[in-house]
Amino acid sequence: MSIRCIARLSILIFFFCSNLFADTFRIPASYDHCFLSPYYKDDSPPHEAALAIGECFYLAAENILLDDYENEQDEASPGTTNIVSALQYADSWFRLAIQKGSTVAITFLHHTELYLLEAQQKHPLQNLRPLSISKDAHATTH
Amino acid sequence: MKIINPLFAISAVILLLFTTGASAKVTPEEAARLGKDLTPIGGEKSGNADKTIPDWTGGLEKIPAGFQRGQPYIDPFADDPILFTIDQSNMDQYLDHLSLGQQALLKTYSSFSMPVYKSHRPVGYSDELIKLVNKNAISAELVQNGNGLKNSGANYPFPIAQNGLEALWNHIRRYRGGSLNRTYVHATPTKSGKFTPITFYEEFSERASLKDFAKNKDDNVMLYFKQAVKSPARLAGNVLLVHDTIDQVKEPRRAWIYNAGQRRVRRAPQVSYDSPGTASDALITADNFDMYNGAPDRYDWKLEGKKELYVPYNSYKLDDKSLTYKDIIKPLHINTQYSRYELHRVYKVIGTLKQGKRHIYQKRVHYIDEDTWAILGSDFYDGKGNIWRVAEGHNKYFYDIGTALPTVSAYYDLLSGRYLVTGLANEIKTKFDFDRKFSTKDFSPSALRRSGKR
Repeated sequence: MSIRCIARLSILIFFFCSNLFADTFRIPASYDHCFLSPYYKDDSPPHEAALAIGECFYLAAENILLDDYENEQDEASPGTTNIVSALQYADSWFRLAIQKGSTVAITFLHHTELYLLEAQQKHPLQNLRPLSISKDAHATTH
Repeated sequence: MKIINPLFAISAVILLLFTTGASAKVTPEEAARLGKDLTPIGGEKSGNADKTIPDWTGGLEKIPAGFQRGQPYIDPFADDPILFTIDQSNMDQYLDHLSLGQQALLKTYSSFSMPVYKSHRPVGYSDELIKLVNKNAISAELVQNGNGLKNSGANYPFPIAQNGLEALWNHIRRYRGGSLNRTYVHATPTKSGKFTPITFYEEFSERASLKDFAKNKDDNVMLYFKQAVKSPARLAGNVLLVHDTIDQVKEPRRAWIYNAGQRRVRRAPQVSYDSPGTASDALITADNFDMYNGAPDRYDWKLEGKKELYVPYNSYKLDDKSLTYKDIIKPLHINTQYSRYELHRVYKVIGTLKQGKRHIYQKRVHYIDEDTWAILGSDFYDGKGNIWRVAEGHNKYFYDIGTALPTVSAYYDLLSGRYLVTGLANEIKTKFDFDRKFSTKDFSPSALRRSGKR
Protein backbone atom coordinates (compact mmCIF):
# COMPACT_ATOMS: atom_id res chain seq x y z
CA MET A 1 0.00 0.00 0.00
CA SER A 2 1.45 3.35 -0.98
CA ILE A 3 2.11 6.12 1.50
CA ARG A 4 -0.52 8.17 -0.28
CA CYS A 5 -3.14 5.46 0.36
CA ILE A 6 -2.20 5.23 4.02
CA ALA A 7 -2.40 9.01 4.34
CA ARG A 8 -5.85 9.07 2.70
CA LEU A 9 -7.07 6.26 4.95
CA SER A 10 -5.77 8.06 8.06
CA ILE A 11 -7.55 11.25 7.03
CA LEU A 12 -10.76 9.29 6.54
CA ILE A 13 -10.44 7.60 9.94
CA PHE A 14 -9.73 10.98 11.58
CA PHE A 15 -12.71 12.48 9.76
CA PHE A 16 -15.18 9.87 10.90
CA CYS A 17 -13.92 9.75 14.49
CA SER A 18 -13.72 13.49 14.96
CA ASN A 19 -15.74 15.18 17.68
CA LEU A 20 -16.48 17.82 15.12
CA PHE A 21 -18.80 15.46 13.30
CA ALA A 22 -20.34 13.71 16.24
CA ASP A 23 -23.58 15.58 15.93
CA THR A 24 -23.80 15.21 12.19
CA PHE A 25 -24.01 11.50 12.78
CA ARG A 26 -26.86 11.74 15.24
CA ILE A 27 -30.18 11.05 13.68
CA PRO A 28 -32.57 13.32 15.53
CA ALA A 29 -36.23 12.42 15.65
CA SER A 30 -38.03 14.29 12.91
CA TYR A 31 -40.08 16.21 15.46
CA ASP A 32 -37.21 17.46 17.63
CA HIS A 33 -37.80 21.01 16.41
CA CYS A 34 -41.27 20.97 18.02
CA PHE A 35 -39.65 20.86 21.47
CA LEU A 36 -37.92 24.15 20.73
CA SER A 37 -41.10 26.19 20.92
CA PRO A 38 -40.73 28.81 23.65
CA TYR A 39 -44.09 27.62 24.98
CA TYR A 40 -43.06 23.97 25.29
CA LYS A 41 -42.00 24.41 28.92
CA ASP A 42 -44.81 26.80 29.70
CA ASP A 43 -47.11 25.33 32.29
CA SER A 44 -50.11 27.18 31.00
CA PRO A 45 -49.60 28.34 27.41
CA PRO A 46 -52.36 30.15 25.51
CA HIS A 47 -54.54 27.85 23.39
CA GLU A 48 -53.06 29.21 20.15
CA ALA A 49 -49.59 28.17 21.28
CA ALA A 50 -50.80 24.74 22.41
CA LEU A 51 -52.52 24.24 19.06
CA ALA A 52 -49.42 25.35 17.14
CA ILE A 53 -47.18 22.91 19.00
CA GLY A 54 -49.73 20.13 18.47
CA GLU A 55 -49.80 20.93 14.76
CA CYS A 56 -46.02 20.84 14.64
CA PHE A 57 -46.00 17.27 15.97
CA TYR A 58 -48.90 16.34 13.74
CA LEU A 59 -47.18 17.59 10.60
CA ALA A 60 -43.98 15.86 11.66
CA ALA A 61 -45.92 12.58 11.91
CA GLU A 62 -47.22 13.16 8.38
CA ASN A 63 -43.74 13.81 7.07
CA ILE A 64 -42.26 10.73 8.72
CA LEU A 65 -45.06 8.64 7.30
CA LEU A 66 -44.50 9.99 3.80
CA ASP A 67 -40.77 9.31 4.11
CA ASP A 68 -41.46 5.79 5.29
CA TYR A 69 -43.80 5.25 2.40
CA GLU A 70 -41.07 6.19 -0.01
CA ASN A 71 -38.64 3.89 1.77
CA GLU A 72 -41.24 1.11 1.87
CA GLN A 73 -41.16 1.10 5.65
CA ASP A 74 -37.67 -0.20 6.11
CA GLU A 75 -37.67 -2.48 9.15
CA ALA A 76 -34.65 -0.73 10.61
CA SER A 77 -36.26 2.67 10.29
CA PRO A 78 -37.32 4.28 13.55
CA GLY A 79 -40.27 5.70 11.58
CA THR A 80 -43.07 3.70 13.17
CA THR A 81 -42.05 4.55 16.70
CA ASN A 82 -41.58 8.18 15.76
CA ILE A 83 -44.98 8.38 14.05
CA VAL A 84 -46.73 6.98 17.12
CA SER A 85 -44.75 9.21 19.47
CA ALA A 86 -45.30 12.32 17.36
CA LEU A 87 -49.04 11.60 17.22
CA GLN A 88 -49.15 11.07 21.00
CA TYR A 89 -47.38 14.40 21.56
CA ALA A 90 -49.81 16.04 19.13
CA ASP A 91 -52.72 14.40 20.96
CA SER A 92 -51.56 15.77 24.32
CA TRP A 93 -51.19 19.32 22.97
CA PHE A 94 -54.55 19.27 21.19
CA ARG A 95 -56.22 18.12 24.40
CA LEU A 96 -54.62 20.99 26.28
CA ALA A 97 -55.63 23.47 23.55
CA ILE A 98 -59.25 22.22 23.79
CA GLN A 99 -59.24 22.64 27.56
CA LYS A 100 -58.08 26.19 26.99
CA GLY A 101 -60.89 26.91 24.56
CA SER A 102 -59.58 26.09 21.08
CA THR A 103 -62.28 24.75 18.79
CA VAL A 104 -59.89 24.09 15.90
CA ALA A 105 -58.04 21.61 18.07
CA ILE A 106 -61.16 19.43 18.31
CA THR A 107 -60.92 18.41 14.66
CA PHE A 108 -57.18 17.87 14.90
CA LEU A 109 -57.63 15.73 17.96
CA HIS A 110 -60.31 13.70 16.22
CA HIS A 111 -58.02 12.95 13.29
CA THR A 112 -55.09 12.17 15.56
CA GLU A 113 -57.21 9.74 17.52
CA LEU A 114 -58.35 8.02 14.35
CA TYR A 115 -54.80 7.44 13.24
CA LEU A 116 -53.71 6.24 16.64
CA LEU A 117 -56.65 3.86 16.65
CA GLU A 118 -55.65 2.64 13.22
CA ALA A 119 -52.13 2.17 14.49
CA GLN A 120 -53.46 0.11 17.36
CA GLN A 121 -55.68 -2.07 15.21
CA LYS A 122 -52.96 -2.69 12.67
CA HIS A 123 -50.48 -3.75 15.29
CA PRO A 124 -47.69 -4.13 14.56
CA LEU A 125 -48.04 -0.87 12.69
CA GLN A 126 -47.83 -1.71 9.03
CA ASN A 127 -48.99 -0.12 5.83
CA LEU A 128 -50.54 2.81 7.57
CA ARG A 129 -51.55 5.13 4.77
CA PRO A 130 -50.13 8.67 4.77
CA LEU A 131 -52.18 11.01 6.89
CA SER A 132 -52.44 14.15 4.74
CA ILE A 133 -55.24 15.39 6.94
CA SER A 134 -53.90 18.62 8.28
CA LYS A 135 -55.44 20.51 5.37
CA ASP A 136 -58.75 18.71 5.89
CA ALA A 137 -58.73 19.74 9.52
CA HIS A 138 -58.30 23.38 8.64
CA ALA A 139 -60.90 23.11 5.91
CA THR A 140 -63.47 21.69 8.32
CA THR A 141 -62.85 24.22 10.98
CA HIS A 142 -62.47 27.45 9.07
CA MET B 1 -69.48 44.22 59.70
CA LYS B 2 -69.83 41.39 57.29
CA ILE B 3 -70.37 38.02 58.97
CA ILE B 4 -68.68 35.06 57.35
CA ASN B 5 -70.89 32.05 56.94
CA PRO B 6 -69.39 29.35 59.23
CA LEU B 7 -70.06 26.65 56.62
CA PHE B 8 -68.13 28.70 54.08
CA ALA B 9 -65.27 29.18 56.52
CA ILE B 10 -65.05 25.42 57.28
CA SER B 11 -65.17 24.59 53.58
CA ALA B 12 -62.43 27.10 52.88
CA VAL B 13 -60.19 25.61 55.55
CA ILE B 14 -60.80 22.09 54.25
CA LEU B 15 -60.14 23.23 50.69
CA LEU B 16 -56.96 24.99 51.78
CA LEU B 17 -55.74 21.86 53.53
CA PHE B 18 -56.27 19.78 50.41
CA THR B 19 -54.98 22.28 47.89
CA THR B 20 -51.78 22.95 49.80
CA GLY B 21 -51.26 19.21 49.95
CA ALA B 22 -50.72 19.47 53.68
CA SER B 23 -49.66 16.06 54.74
CA ALA B 24 -49.45 14.68 58.18
CA LYS B 25 -46.42 12.94 59.55
CA VAL B 26 -47.53 9.92 61.55
CA THR B 27 -47.94 9.95 65.31
CA PRO B 28 -45.18 8.49 67.50
CA GLU B 29 -47.56 5.60 68.31
CA GLU B 30 -48.00 4.77 64.64
CA ALA B 31 -44.28 5.20 63.99
CA ALA B 32 -43.60 2.70 66.79
CA ARG B 33 -44.96 -0.01 64.49
CA LEU B 34 -41.76 0.26 62.44
CA GLY B 35 -39.58 -2.69 63.34
CA LYS B 36 -42.50 -4.39 65.14
CA ASP B 37 -45.33 -5.50 62.86
CA LEU B 38 -43.84 -3.41 60.06
CA THR B 39 -40.36 -3.68 58.56
CA PRO B 40 -38.01 -0.78 59.33
CA ILE B 41 -39.12 0.99 56.14
CA GLY B 42 -42.84 0.25 56.47
CA GLY B 43 -43.51 -3.06 54.69
CA GLU B 44 -45.55 -5.77 56.36
CA LYS B 45 -43.30 -8.13 58.28
CA SER B 46 -45.73 -11.01 57.96
CA GLY B 47 -46.03 -12.87 54.74
CA ASN B 48 -49.40 -13.61 53.21
CA ALA B 49 -51.82 -16.20 54.58
CA ASP B 50 -50.61 -19.11 52.48
CA LYS B 51 -46.97 -18.02 52.84
CA THR B 52 -46.39 -17.74 49.12
CA ILE B 53 -45.02 -14.40 50.28
CA PRO B 54 -42.73 -15.21 53.20
CA ASP B 55 -42.30 -13.29 56.44
CA TRP B 56 -39.57 -10.68 56.44
CA THR B 57 -36.99 -11.90 58.92
CA GLY B 58 -34.26 -9.31 58.59
CA GLY B 59 -33.19 -9.90 55.02
CA LEU B 60 -30.62 -12.23 53.50
CA GLU B 61 -29.03 -14.22 56.31
CA LYS B 62 -25.64 -14.74 54.74
CA ILE B 63 -23.77 -13.26 51.79
CA PRO B 64 -23.10 -16.13 49.33
CA ALA B 65 -19.80 -17.91 49.93
CA GLY B 66 -17.07 -16.79 47.58
CA PHE B 67 -18.47 -13.33 46.96
CA GLN B 68 -15.89 -10.55 46.95
CA ARG B 69 -16.83 -6.90 46.92
CA GLY B 70 -16.34 -5.46 43.46
CA GLN B 71 -16.73 -8.85 41.80
CA PRO B 72 -19.90 -10.07 40.05
CA TYR B 73 -22.76 -10.83 42.41
CA ILE B 74 -23.39 -14.49 43.14
CA ASP B 75 -27.06 -15.44 42.84
CA PRO B 76 -28.12 -16.56 46.33
CA PHE B 77 -31.18 -18.26 44.87
CA ALA B 78 -29.60 -19.93 41.85
CA ASP B 79 -30.83 -23.38 42.85
CA ASP B 80 -34.50 -22.42 42.97
CA PRO B 81 -36.53 -24.27 40.35
CA ILE B 82 -39.16 -22.52 38.22
CA LEU B 83 -42.52 -23.11 39.95
CA PHE B 84 -44.56 -22.40 36.82
CA THR B 85 -44.49 -20.18 33.76
CA ILE B 86 -47.23 -17.74 32.83
CA ASP B 87 -47.82 -17.17 29.14
CA GLN B 88 -50.61 -16.30 26.76
CA SER B 89 -52.11 -19.78 27.01
CA ASN B 90 -52.59 -19.87 30.79
CA MET B 91 -52.62 -16.22 31.84
CA ASP B 92 -56.33 -16.35 32.70
CA GLN B 93 -55.53 -18.49 35.74
CA TYR B 94 -53.31 -15.77 37.18
CA LEU B 95 -55.12 -12.55 36.35
CA ASP B 96 -55.49 -11.58 40.02
CA HIS B 97 -51.72 -11.42 40.37
CA LEU B 98 -50.92 -9.70 37.09
CA SER B 99 -50.92 -5.96 36.46
CA LEU B 100 -52.92 -4.71 33.49
CA GLY B 101 -49.62 -3.88 31.80
CA GLN B 102 -48.37 -7.45 32.21
CA GLN B 103 -51.69 -8.74 30.86
CA ALA B 104 -51.30 -6.46 27.85
CA LEU B 105 -47.75 -7.73 27.26
CA LEU B 106 -48.89 -11.34 27.42
CA LYS B 107 -51.85 -10.70 25.13
CA THR B 108 -49.78 -8.73 22.61
CA TYR B 109 -46.73 -10.99 22.38
CA SER B 110 -47.31 -14.73 22.20
CA SER B 111 -43.59 -15.22 22.88
CA PHE B 112 -43.66 -13.28 26.16
CA SER B 113 -43.65 -15.41 29.28
CA MET B 114 -43.08 -15.01 33.00
CA PRO B 115 -41.15 -17.73 34.82
CA VAL B 116 -42.29 -17.66 38.44
CA TYR B 117 -39.99 -18.67 41.28
CA LYS B 118 -40.27 -18.99 45.04
CA SER B 119 -40.47 -15.56 46.70
CA HIS B 120 -37.61 -14.30 48.85
CA ARG B 121 -37.35 -11.08 50.83
CA PRO B 122 -33.56 -10.55 51.01
CA VAL B 123 -33.44 -6.80 51.61
CA GLY B 124 -31.91 -5.69 54.90
CA TYR B 125 -31.38 -2.23 56.37
CA SER B 126 -28.42 -0.72 58.21
CA ASP B 127 -28.82 0.66 61.74
CA GLU B 128 -28.02 4.11 60.40
CA LEU B 129 -30.82 3.88 57.83
CA ILE B 130 -33.29 2.56 60.40
CA LYS B 131 -32.52 5.49 62.68
CA LEU B 132 -33.01 7.94 59.83
CA VAL B 133 -36.33 6.40 58.76
CA ASN B 134 -37.65 6.38 62.34
CA LYS B 135 -36.94 10.08 62.54
CA ASN B 136 -38.50 10.76 59.14
CA ALA B 137 -41.69 8.95 60.14
CA ILE B 138 -42.54 11.56 62.76
CA SER B 139 -41.06 14.62 61.13
CA ALA B 140 -41.18 14.55 57.30
CA GLU B 141 -43.90 16.53 55.59
CA LEU B 142 -44.95 17.32 52.07
CA VAL B 143 -44.94 20.97 51.13
CA GLN B 144 -45.83 23.02 48.04
CA ASN B 145 -48.78 20.82 47.03
CA GLY B 146 -46.63 17.75 47.41
CA ASN B 147 -43.84 19.02 45.18
CA GLY B 148 -41.38 19.34 47.99
CA LEU B 149 -40.42 17.93 51.36
CA LYS B 150 -39.42 19.38 54.65
CA ASN B 151 -37.91 17.92 57.80
CA SER B 152 -36.80 14.82 55.97
CA GLY B 153 -33.52 12.92 55.97
CA ALA B 154 -32.09 11.61 52.71
CA ASN B 155 -34.12 8.40 52.31
CA TYR B 156 -37.64 7.03 52.74
CA PRO B 157 -39.35 10.18 54.04
CA PHE B 158 -42.69 8.43 54.57
CA PRO B 159 -42.24 4.83 55.72
CA ILE B 160 -45.93 4.69 56.58
CA ALA B 161 -47.18 6.32 53.40
CA GLN B 162 -50.71 7.61 53.55
CA ASN B 163 -51.23 8.77 50.00
CA GLY B 164 -49.88 8.37 46.49
CA LEU B 165 -47.55 11.35 46.67
CA GLU B 166 -45.86 10.05 49.80
CA ALA B 167 -45.39 6.62 48.21
CA LEU B 168 -43.93 8.23 45.08
CA TRP B 169 -41.53 10.31 47.15
CA ASN B 170 -40.32 7.15 48.85
CA HIS B 171 -39.41 5.79 45.42
CA ILE B 172 -37.70 9.04 44.40
CA ARG B 173 -35.76 9.17 47.66
CA ARG B 174 -35.10 5.47 48.15
CA TYR B 175 -31.73 4.29 49.34
CA ARG B 176 -29.36 3.65 46.43
CA GLY B 177 -26.08 3.21 48.25
CA GLY B 178 -25.44 6.95 48.70
CA SER B 179 -23.18 7.25 45.67
CA LEU B 180 -22.46 5.13 42.65
CA ASN B 181 -20.57 5.03 39.40
CA ARG B 182 -21.21 2.42 36.78
CA THR B 183 -20.94 1.57 33.11
CA TYR B 184 -23.83 -0.09 31.36
CA VAL B 185 -25.41 -0.65 28.00
CA HIS B 186 -28.75 0.39 26.63
CA ALA B 187 -30.37 -0.64 23.36
CA THR B 188 -33.45 0.04 21.27
CA PRO B 189 -33.81 -3.11 19.14
CA THR B 190 -35.80 -3.10 15.94
CA LYS B 191 -38.78 -5.43 15.63
CA SER B 192 -36.54 -8.13 14.26
CA GLY B 193 -34.16 -7.73 17.20
CA LYS B 194 -31.29 -5.85 15.54
CA PHE B 195 -29.59 -3.37 17.84
CA THR B 196 -26.54 -1.19 18.41
CA PRO B 197 -25.40 -1.22 22.04
CA ILE B 198 -25.03 2.27 23.45
CA THR B 199 -22.59 2.42 26.36
CA PHE B 200 -23.16 4.90 29.17
CA TYR B 201 -20.97 5.83 32.10
CA GLU B 202 -22.84 7.31 35.05
CA GLU B 203 -21.91 9.00 38.30
CA PHE B 204 -24.52 9.57 40.96
CA SER B 205 -24.44 10.97 44.46
CA GLU B 206 -27.02 11.95 46.99
CA ARG B 207 -26.22 15.37 48.40
CA ALA B 208 -25.71 13.97 51.88
CA SER B 209 -23.09 11.54 50.53
CA LEU B 210 -20.83 14.20 49.03
CA LYS B 211 -17.32 14.48 50.45
CA ASP B 212 -17.83 18.20 50.91
CA PHE B 213 -21.43 17.99 52.10
CA ALA B 214 -22.53 21.11 53.93
CA LYS B 215 -25.94 21.06 55.54
CA ASN B 216 -27.08 24.49 54.44
CA LYS B 217 -25.39 24.63 51.05
CA ASP B 218 -27.55 23.86 48.01
CA ASP B 219 -30.16 22.42 50.35
CA ASN B 220 -32.89 22.17 47.71
CA VAL B 221 -30.75 19.63 45.80
CA MET B 222 -31.36 15.98 46.58
CA LEU B 223 -29.01 14.29 44.11
CA TYR B 224 -26.36 14.90 41.50
CA PHE B 225 -26.18 12.84 38.34
CA LYS B 226 -23.81 12.77 35.38
CA GLN B 227 -24.23 10.53 32.35
CA ALA B 228 -21.69 10.27 29.52
CA VAL B 229 -22.18 8.36 26.29
CA LYS B 230 -19.07 6.24 25.64
CA SER B 231 -20.02 4.44 22.46
CA PRO B 232 -20.86 4.16 19.58
CA ALA B 233 -18.46 6.76 18.20
CA ARG B 234 -21.23 8.78 16.59
CA LEU B 235 -22.76 9.51 20.01
CA ALA B 236 -19.70 9.32 22.24
CA GLY B 237 -18.63 12.37 24.16
CA ASN B 238 -22.06 13.83 24.83
CA VAL B 239 -22.59 14.29 28.56
CA LEU B 240 -25.65 15.16 30.62
CA LEU B 241 -25.41 16.71 34.06
CA VAL B 242 -28.40 17.01 36.38
CA HIS B 243 -28.81 18.58 39.80
CA ASP B 244 -32.15 17.20 40.88
CA THR B 245 -33.96 19.56 43.17
CA ILE B 246 -36.36 18.56 45.91
CA ASP B 247 -38.96 21.17 45.06
CA GLN B 248 -38.82 21.33 41.26
CA VAL B 249 -41.64 23.78 41.01
CA LYS B 250 -39.89 26.29 43.25
CA GLU B 251 -36.57 25.63 41.55
CA PRO B 252 -36.68 23.51 38.40
CA ARG B 253 -34.20 20.69 37.95
CA ARG B 254 -30.86 22.09 36.80
CA ALA B 255 -29.54 20.33 33.72
CA TRP B 256 -26.68 20.89 31.32
CA ILE B 257 -25.48 19.07 28.23
CA TYR B 258 -21.95 18.94 26.91
CA ASN B 259 -22.19 18.60 23.18
CA ALA B 260 -19.14 16.81 21.84
CA GLY B 261 -19.76 18.06 18.31
CA GLN B 262 -19.82 21.70 19.32
CA ARG B 263 -17.49 21.28 22.33
CA ARG B 264 -19.81 23.47 24.33
CA VAL B 265 -21.71 23.21 27.59
CA ARG B 266 -25.32 24.35 27.36
CA ARG B 267 -28.25 24.50 29.77
CA ALA B 268 -30.77 21.76 29.00
CA PRO B 269 -34.12 22.79 30.45
CA GLN B 270 -35.91 20.16 28.37
CA VAL B 271 -34.61 17.21 30.42
CA SER B 272 -37.84 16.70 32.33
CA TYR B 273 -41.43 15.48 32.13
CA ASP B 274 -42.26 14.01 28.69
CA SER B 275 -39.25 15.17 26.68
CA PRO B 276 -37.67 12.16 24.94
CA GLY B 277 -35.06 10.27 26.96
CA THR B 278 -31.39 10.30 25.90
CA ALA B 279 -30.70 8.12 22.85
CA SER B 280 -34.07 6.48 23.38
CA ASP B 281 -35.38 6.44 19.82
CA ALA B 282 -38.57 8.05 21.14
CA LEU B 283 -39.35 5.01 23.29
CA ILE B 284 -39.19 6.62 26.71
CA THR B 285 -39.68 10.05 28.25
CA ALA B 286 -37.19 11.89 30.46
CA ASP B 287 -39.29 11.09 33.53
CA ASN B 288 -39.32 7.36 32.67
CA PHE B 289 -35.67 7.05 33.64
CA ASP B 290 -35.32 5.02 36.87
CA MET B 291 -39.01 4.13 36.31
CA TYR B 292 -40.03 7.57 37.61
CA ASN B 293 -38.06 10.68 38.35
CA GLY B 294 -38.68 14.40 38.60
CA ALA B 295 -41.42 16.69 39.77
CA PRO B 296 -44.77 15.07 40.55
CA ASP B 297 -46.77 18.25 39.95
CA ARG B 298 -48.56 17.36 36.70
CA TYR B 299 -50.50 14.43 38.16
CA ASP B 300 -53.00 13.75 40.92
CA TRP B 301 -51.53 10.76 42.74
CA LYS B 302 -53.71 8.19 44.42
CA LEU B 303 -52.56 5.31 46.60
CA GLU B 304 -54.88 2.45 45.78
CA GLY B 305 -53.62 0.15 48.50
CA LYS B 306 -51.51 -2.96 48.16
CA LYS B 307 -51.71 -5.85 45.75
CA GLU B 308 -49.97 -9.20 45.54
CA LEU B 309 -48.41 -9.32 42.08
CA TYR B 310 -45.87 -11.37 40.20
CA VAL B 311 -43.11 -8.84 39.77
CA PRO B 312 -39.50 -9.01 38.52
CA TYR B 313 -37.37 -9.76 41.60
CA ASN B 314 -33.92 -11.08 42.50
CA SER B 315 -32.94 -10.77 38.86
CA TYR B 316 -29.37 -12.04 39.16
CA LYS B 317 -29.58 -14.21 36.03
CA LEU B 318 -30.01 -11.18 33.80
CA ASP B 319 -26.65 -9.93 35.07
CA ASP B 320 -24.82 -13.21 34.44
CA LYS B 321 -21.42 -12.44 32.96
CA SER B 322 -21.51 -15.58 30.83
CA LEU B 323 -24.37 -14.10 28.81
CA THR B 324 -23.97 -11.71 25.92
CA TYR B 325 -26.30 -8.87 25.01
CA LYS B 326 -27.48 -10.94 22.07
CA ASP B 327 -28.59 -13.64 24.51
CA ILE B 328 -30.83 -11.15 26.28
CA ILE B 329 -32.01 -8.75 23.59
CA LYS B 330 -34.53 -10.50 21.39
CA PRO B 331 -37.25 -9.29 19.02
CA LEU B 332 -40.22 -7.59 20.74
CA HIS B 333 -39.01 -8.18 24.33
CA ILE B 334 -36.07 -9.34 26.41
CA ASN B 335 -35.36 -13.05 26.57
CA THR B 336 -37.72 -14.05 29.33
CA GLN B 337 -35.76 -17.25 29.90
CA TYR B 338 -33.45 -15.14 32.08
CA SER B 339 -36.18 -13.19 33.88
CA ARG B 340 -37.31 -14.10 37.36
CA TYR B 341 -40.73 -13.23 38.74
CA GLU B 342 -41.81 -13.66 42.35
CA LEU B 343 -45.04 -12.96 44.20
CA HIS B 344 -44.62 -9.79 46.26
CA ARG B 345 -46.77 -7.12 47.83
CA VAL B 346 -46.67 -3.85 45.96
CA TYR B 347 -48.27 -0.47 46.54
CA LYS B 348 -50.41 0.51 43.58
CA VAL B 349 -50.06 4.23 42.88
CA ILE B 350 -52.09 5.87 40.13
CA GLY B 351 -51.16 9.21 38.61
CA THR B 352 -53.91 10.97 36.65
CA LEU B 353 -53.04 14.04 34.62
CA LYS B 354 -54.39 17.19 36.27
CA GLN B 355 -56.87 19.40 34.50
CA GLY B 356 -54.96 22.08 32.58
CA LYS B 357 -51.70 20.10 32.61
CA ARG B 358 -50.17 18.21 29.71
CA HIS B 359 -48.14 15.03 29.32
CA ILE B 360 -48.17 12.27 26.71
CA TYR B 361 -49.18 9.85 29.48
CA GLN B 362 -52.72 10.70 30.51
CA LYS B 363 -52.45 8.19 33.31
CA ARG B 364 -49.60 6.18 34.80
CA VAL B 365 -49.82 3.34 37.25
CA HIS B 366 -46.80 2.40 39.33
CA TYR B 367 -46.30 -0.79 41.34
CA ILE B 368 -43.93 -0.09 44.23
CA ASP B 369 -42.16 -2.84 46.15
CA GLU B 370 -42.96 -2.84 49.90
CA ASP B 371 -39.39 -3.84 50.84
CA THR B 372 -37.48 -1.25 48.79
CA TRP B 373 -39.99 1.38 47.67
CA ALA B 374 -38.60 0.82 44.17
CA ILE B 375 -41.05 0.90 41.28
CA LEU B 376 -40.95 -2.59 39.75
CA GLY B 377 -43.61 -2.12 37.10
CA SER B 378 -45.48 0.70 35.41
CA ASP B 379 -48.37 0.99 32.98
CA PHE B 380 -48.63 4.11 30.84
CA TYR B 381 -51.91 5.20 29.24
CA ASP B 382 -52.34 7.51 26.27
CA GLY B 383 -54.85 10.34 25.88
CA LYS B 384 -57.62 7.91 24.89
CA GLY B 385 -57.08 5.83 28.01
CA ASN B 386 -55.42 2.86 26.28
CA ILE B 387 -52.34 1.16 27.64
CA TRP B 388 -49.55 2.37 25.39
CA ARG B 389 -46.35 1.48 27.18
CA VAL B 390 -45.40 -0.95 29.91
CA ALA B 391 -42.19 -0.86 31.96
CA GLU B 392 -40.55 -3.49 34.13
CA GLY B 393 -37.65 -2.95 36.53
CA HIS B 394 -35.72 -6.18 37.04
CA ASN B 395 -33.99 -5.46 40.33
CA LYS B 396 -31.37 -7.35 42.22
CA TYR B 397 -30.23 -6.91 45.78
CA PHE B 398 -26.67 -5.66 46.24
CA TYR B 399 -26.20 -7.52 49.50
CA ASP B 400 -22.88 -5.92 50.45
CA ILE B 401 -24.36 -2.44 50.09
CA GLY B 402 -27.92 -2.98 51.27
CA THR B 403 -29.67 -1.61 48.23
CA ALA B 404 -31.73 -3.06 45.40
CA LEU B 405 -31.21 -1.51 41.97
CA PRO B 406 -32.29 -2.47 38.47
CA THR B 407 -30.12 -4.99 36.70
CA VAL B 408 -32.22 -4.40 33.64
CA SER B 409 -35.13 -2.08 32.96
CA ALA B 410 -37.31 -2.71 29.93
CA TYR B 411 -39.81 -0.26 28.45
CA TYR B 412 -42.22 -1.79 25.95
CA ASP B 413 -44.10 0.31 23.41
CA LEU B 414 -47.12 -1.79 22.54
CA LEU B 415 -48.16 0.40 19.61
CA SER B 416 -44.90 0.35 17.69
CA GLY B 417 -43.89 -3.15 18.78
CA ARG B 418 -40.48 -1.94 19.91
CA TYR B 419 -38.78 -1.61 23.27
CA LEU B 420 -35.89 -0.03 25.08
CA VAL B 421 -33.73 -2.06 27.41
CA THR B 422 -31.23 -0.44 29.73
CA GLY B 423 -28.84 -1.33 32.54
CA LEU B 424 -27.17 -4.31 30.85
CA ALA B 425 -23.61 -4.96 32.03
CA ASN B 426 -23.00 -8.59 31.01
CA GLU B 427 -20.10 -7.78 28.68
CA ILE B 428 -18.63 -5.05 30.86
CA LYS B 429 -15.76 -5.89 33.18
CA THR B 430 -15.92 -2.79 35.34
CA LYS B 431 -17.96 -3.07 38.52
CA PHE B 432 -20.75 -1.05 40.03
CA ASP B 433 -18.62 1.10 42.32
CA PHE B 434 -20.37 2.30 45.46
CA ASP B 435 -17.12 3.15 47.27
CA ARG B 436 -15.99 6.22 45.36
CA LYS B 437 -17.23 9.41 46.95
CA PHE B 438 -17.72 12.55 44.92
CA SER B 439 -17.50 16.25 45.64
CA THR B 440 -19.64 19.08 44.29
CA LYS B 441 -16.77 19.88 41.91
CA ASP B 442 -17.34 16.55 40.14
CA PHE B 443 -20.84 17.71 39.30
CA SER B 444 -20.09 21.25 38.22
CA PRO B 445 -20.83 22.35 34.63
CA SER B 446 -17.10 22.83 34.08
CA ALA B 447 -16.55 19.15 34.93
CA LEU B 448 -18.75 18.27 31.97
CA ARG B 449 -16.15 19.15 29.38
CA ARG B 450 -13.59 16.87 31.06
CA SER B 451 -16.10 14.00 31.13
CA GLY B 452 -16.87 14.47 27.47
CA LYS B 453 -13.33 13.76 26.29
CA ARG B 454 -13.30 10.69 24.08
